[in-house]
Amino acid sequence: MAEVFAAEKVDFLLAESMNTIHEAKAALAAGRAAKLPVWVSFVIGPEGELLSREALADAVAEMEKGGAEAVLVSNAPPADITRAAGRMKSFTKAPFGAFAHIGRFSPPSWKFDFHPQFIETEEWPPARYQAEARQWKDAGARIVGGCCGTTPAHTRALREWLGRR
Amino acid sequence: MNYEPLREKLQKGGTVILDGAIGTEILRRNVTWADHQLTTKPEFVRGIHEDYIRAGADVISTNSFQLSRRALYNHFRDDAHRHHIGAKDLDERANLLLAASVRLAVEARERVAAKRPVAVAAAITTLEWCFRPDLVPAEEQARREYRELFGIVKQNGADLVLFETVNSIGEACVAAEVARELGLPCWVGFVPAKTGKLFTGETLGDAVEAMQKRGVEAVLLNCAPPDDITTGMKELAPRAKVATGAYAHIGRFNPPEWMFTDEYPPSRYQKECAGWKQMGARVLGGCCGTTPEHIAALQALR
Repeated sequence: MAEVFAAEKVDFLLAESMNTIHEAKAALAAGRAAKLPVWVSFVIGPEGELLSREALADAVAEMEKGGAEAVLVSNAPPADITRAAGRMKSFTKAPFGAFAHIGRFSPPSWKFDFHPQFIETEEWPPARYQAEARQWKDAGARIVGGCCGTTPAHTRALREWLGRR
Repeated sequence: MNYEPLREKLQKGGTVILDGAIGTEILRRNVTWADHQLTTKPEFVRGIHEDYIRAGADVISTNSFQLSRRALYNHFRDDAHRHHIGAKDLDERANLLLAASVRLAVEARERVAAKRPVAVAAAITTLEWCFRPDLVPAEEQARREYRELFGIVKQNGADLVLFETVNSIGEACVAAEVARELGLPCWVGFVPAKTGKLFTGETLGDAVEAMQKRGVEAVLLNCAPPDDITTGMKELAPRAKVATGAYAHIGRFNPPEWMFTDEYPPSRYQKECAGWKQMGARVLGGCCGTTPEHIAALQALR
């Protein structure tokens, strides 16, 4: 996959929603082999660590060792992302980032069908999401964005807060 | 009870016509599959059942493909993760939809089939992916899940279970035993591979014997291209003491959607079915890609 992306001249690889350290290492190595800069994001599980229950600290250390240019926490509700982002500074001096999903995952009833559907996203309008993202920046995150359920309006709210470059 | 007329028909050597596809028919009518449309567009789903009844089907099958807790739950790591990020109704949703799928088929019958017996078959497939026998759950786990699923369909008025698109004898045995335990008539549809065997490599002869021992009243072949159904029928028919039958898919599986092709218009599909009938098949219908027009064309085979 990294080779396909490199051939199509992407600027970098975002290996996102990783749930184990070993798969993240494989994705990172593949991106590096294709000469792409690589960022890696990990799903934060209900316990605040990786979904595999491996320690987020270990994941960050392994990614730094493998040459990732940034590590992010993602694919969890905003409050979970805020908690995880708050711990990241103690794990790394490299750039890190955060992006949350909003609403609740409402999967289709058929296994063959996988369109991630999120409901109740109206609980997180852009202004509220932006306020949450401020806490990530305050904790040291230098990359912020939005995961499932967010919209261009959420990105606009982040941009307006951070100002034009 | 609408099953008795079917049983009599099969015992007398008559031909039973099933309905055609429902999942792909939803897609063909330009509606998405999401949540089976059972609560969002119930009248639309019921309308497809009604079209199949009008086309002459003796049996209509519920729009319940893989409608189980397992299908919803396996998007998540475990219960804790599902409760943390999942929609709040996920613990109950599958069973409520399954019940609704049966009620809609029963309603369709009440609306358009008043003058002739039409049976409602609860269409239940394997617990895991139907083309992946390597994923079949452990026996006792499967038994618990089938008890729950079959219990719901019985309670909501299904006349029989159509346990379809089955890839292993083991899982079919568990489902057949549970149906018998609940007093539900059961038909089983196996997927024949190109070789005329199941995907597990087990033979259809062994499959039909195992089903007969467990009280299954018809053994069918389904969800394979017509040629593979013909190959499978050669294996199945000579070994069967119970009624046999077939319903093929037409087109190509293009996950998660279906690719419709014009290879098998109703008249050509009817000829395939006529061939299976000559080989001994007494239950004929259509799987993915077939339409009410295909079922109407099968009426000539009675």
